[in-house]
Amino acid sequence: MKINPIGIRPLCHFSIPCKDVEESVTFYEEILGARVYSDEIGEYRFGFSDEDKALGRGQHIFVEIAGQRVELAHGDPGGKPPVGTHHAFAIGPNDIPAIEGHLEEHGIPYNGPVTHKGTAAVSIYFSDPDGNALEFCCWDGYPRLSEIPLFQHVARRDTGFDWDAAARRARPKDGVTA
Amino acid sequence: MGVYNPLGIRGICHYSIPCSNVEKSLTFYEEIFGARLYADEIGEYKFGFSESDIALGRMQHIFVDIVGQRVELVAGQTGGKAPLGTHHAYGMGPNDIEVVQKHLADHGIPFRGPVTHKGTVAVSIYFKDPDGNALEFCCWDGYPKIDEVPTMYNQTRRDDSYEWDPVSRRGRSKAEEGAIR
Repeated sequence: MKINPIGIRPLCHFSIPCKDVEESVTFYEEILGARVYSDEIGEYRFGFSDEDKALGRGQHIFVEIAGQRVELAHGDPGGKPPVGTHHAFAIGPNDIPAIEGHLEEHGIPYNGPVTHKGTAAVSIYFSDPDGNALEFCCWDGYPRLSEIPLFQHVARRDTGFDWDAAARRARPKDGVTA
Repeated sequence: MGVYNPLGIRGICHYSIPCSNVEKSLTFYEEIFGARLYADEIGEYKFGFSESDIALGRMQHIFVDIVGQRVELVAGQTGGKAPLGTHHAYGMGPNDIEVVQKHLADHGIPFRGPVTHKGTVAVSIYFKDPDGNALEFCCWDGYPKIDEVPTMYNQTRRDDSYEWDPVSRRGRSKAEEGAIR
């Protein structure tokens, strides 16, 4: 148990705003290995039943990603990256090429790997289908850190894409290269 | 080691909170969440303040630790309005629901709740940080008096905005401000 002066416990969950929560579930399943949360009350898919709709409940689905509960919540994603919050998932020093291959295989544009002045952190940045900013981050001593450029020294490319929920991969955005 | 994930992902490394003034927000997260400024052999994790960082175009960001979770308070446009956008919920135990309400009330932070959610045993208390980022304390561990807690959807939502005073480390509700003026 971690000590906290207020006595609060670790992060319970965080939410990600999604235009279409069911489509976003396929993205988080495929790209981050998410699983729909489920226990004795059933699957954590709320706001879909007639009763829930009558109650005014927004659609939201809880998933689990590496032990973290994440709520994919229906709503206007608003904002544009890099404005707003981002969420970084940890990866190990041997996972950097593997993660790049994983994103490439799914047609997800990304920036990185880059490092941050004065730290050993190595980051790979990408977005979810609604433009919510995501990151894979290795803070555990990447052995070839000296070969990684600084964040500020690399031109950032557009990480927007259209997610094909049936194919479970991205398609390039029409005319986005213009 | 962390929890199994088919891609070998190890869990959340950190997440960011956009702040109009990161040093002011630091006092809020210290006071309300018991955040500690992250520091190790490279020093304090306050980036984007030095002249060389400014020349590099580094934005201001401060890493804090909250119950073992690294959180990045980052300068930027806060945009969005709650309940849109993301929110972050910290866990609390079944005995902490009254304690947390008092904690918020003592700091002049308006909050909504406790409320529960149809078909679950989750009990939530909602509030905001000084920039309007949505926060929650959440008990999912079996609050014994759950039958007395109303469901969220039957509640009228009150305005939970306020001004944060980093010196006295407490909030001042907008309504209270109006009264002072």
